[in-house]
Amino acid sequence: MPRGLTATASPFLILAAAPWLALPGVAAAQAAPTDLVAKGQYVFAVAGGCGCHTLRPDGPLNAGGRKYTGPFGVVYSTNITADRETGIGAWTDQQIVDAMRKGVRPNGERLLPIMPYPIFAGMAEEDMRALVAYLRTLPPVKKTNPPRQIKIPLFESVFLPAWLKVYTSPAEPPKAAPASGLERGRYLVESVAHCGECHTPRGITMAVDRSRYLAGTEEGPEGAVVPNITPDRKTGIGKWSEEDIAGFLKTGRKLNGDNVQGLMEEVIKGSPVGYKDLTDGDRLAIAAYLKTVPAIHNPIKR
Amino acid sequence: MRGTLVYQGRKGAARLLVGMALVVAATSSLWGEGPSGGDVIAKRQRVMKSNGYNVEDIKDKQKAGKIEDIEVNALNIALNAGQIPSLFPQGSLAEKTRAKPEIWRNWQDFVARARELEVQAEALEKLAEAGNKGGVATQLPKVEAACQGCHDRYRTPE
Repeated sequence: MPRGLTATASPFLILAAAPWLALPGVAAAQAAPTDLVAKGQYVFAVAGGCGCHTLRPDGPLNAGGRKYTGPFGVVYSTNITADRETGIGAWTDQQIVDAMRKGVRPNGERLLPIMPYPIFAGMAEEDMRALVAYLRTLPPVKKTNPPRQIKIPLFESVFLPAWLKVYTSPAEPPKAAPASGLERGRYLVESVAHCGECHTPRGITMAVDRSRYLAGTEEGPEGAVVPNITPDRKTGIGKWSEEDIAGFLKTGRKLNGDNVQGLMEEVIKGSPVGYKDLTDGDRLAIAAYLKTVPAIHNPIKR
Repeated sequence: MRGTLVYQGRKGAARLLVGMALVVAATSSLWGEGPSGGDVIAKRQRVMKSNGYNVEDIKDKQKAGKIEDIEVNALNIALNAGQIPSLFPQGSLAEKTRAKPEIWRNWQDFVARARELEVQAEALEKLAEAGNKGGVATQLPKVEAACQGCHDRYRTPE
């Protein structure tokens, strides 16, 4: 894959791309400039290779079908390949953006925020457009996934909107993606890599508990045990240096020499790109930001 | 006959009971919890934890430039690795273990990988003893890779 990618927008590319990207249906037919696609691939990598959309261990990349069960019922992740019948190949760019920022499909169906659209709402426009351009290049896979089974009455019309209103505050995108420093790290962690969706414990309502941001949980996605990645020295990663954290995001190797497995391994290795493909600068920016979040004493039993 | 007389009467009964108690005490580690019992699983988890603490200590000492002091950590890891096969008796699977049944289906490979860790840790030990900073820096990832070689195949995710 391309090396030396940066996430800094090229004003020329954005200005050149913006007019025709805004026209419904046009982007589905035309190929985006390759630099925009390369940038989009990088954003995809920062998002952990959008691992929820690949069924493990042997499912075709990005073709969806991963099962998520909760009090609401059962949902399956979407096929986000460019297949026009079973994927998002026939969606317009704006329809893809609406799904990612507002959680609405072209047919009006509302997505559950297992797809973290309130978080992705905070992704800068340049990164979002680039991501869309890259999604269009994902090899099409014809795969129809099971329909969702919702067991709560009036779920889409009443329950979900109410839940979103009470428990989420859709993030505001910055005017431009921060290019460096702590702001870059914060942006990557909170709006693209969406670390909090897995690493922050949830209450009985399934909403994240922001008072324990990144403090880990024994009841993570798919039943995973998810570590505390706050700077707490005893129960978090306070003993790790920024270089240790950045190195882990590249190799999956922890401070104690152990290799990570499971969901974190998936997002580091990616589908096919993931955290391992981030620049050294971005991994260090993420690490620097993680050092600034409140240290929470929260021992996770393994 | 003398053997019969030893256990006659009250004194004989007492001798018998004491003898039985001694046998029980001497062999309890063999049959007390059984090969699939919690003790061996807890012990091997502590051995793995020990490996992790030793690797962390190695990295601290590397940063502090105390290369020769790493010898003891490498020795600990090598000794731990030597114990690994005995800590995975057949059938020692329980809810709290991440060990996979594949260990016993591929026993020779599993043992070979434990031995690989031992070999790599012994090499690290020698490099540390010699104060070879660059050598230690090159060798530590090989120790970590040996751990991973087994984990990838024989351990479930958390």
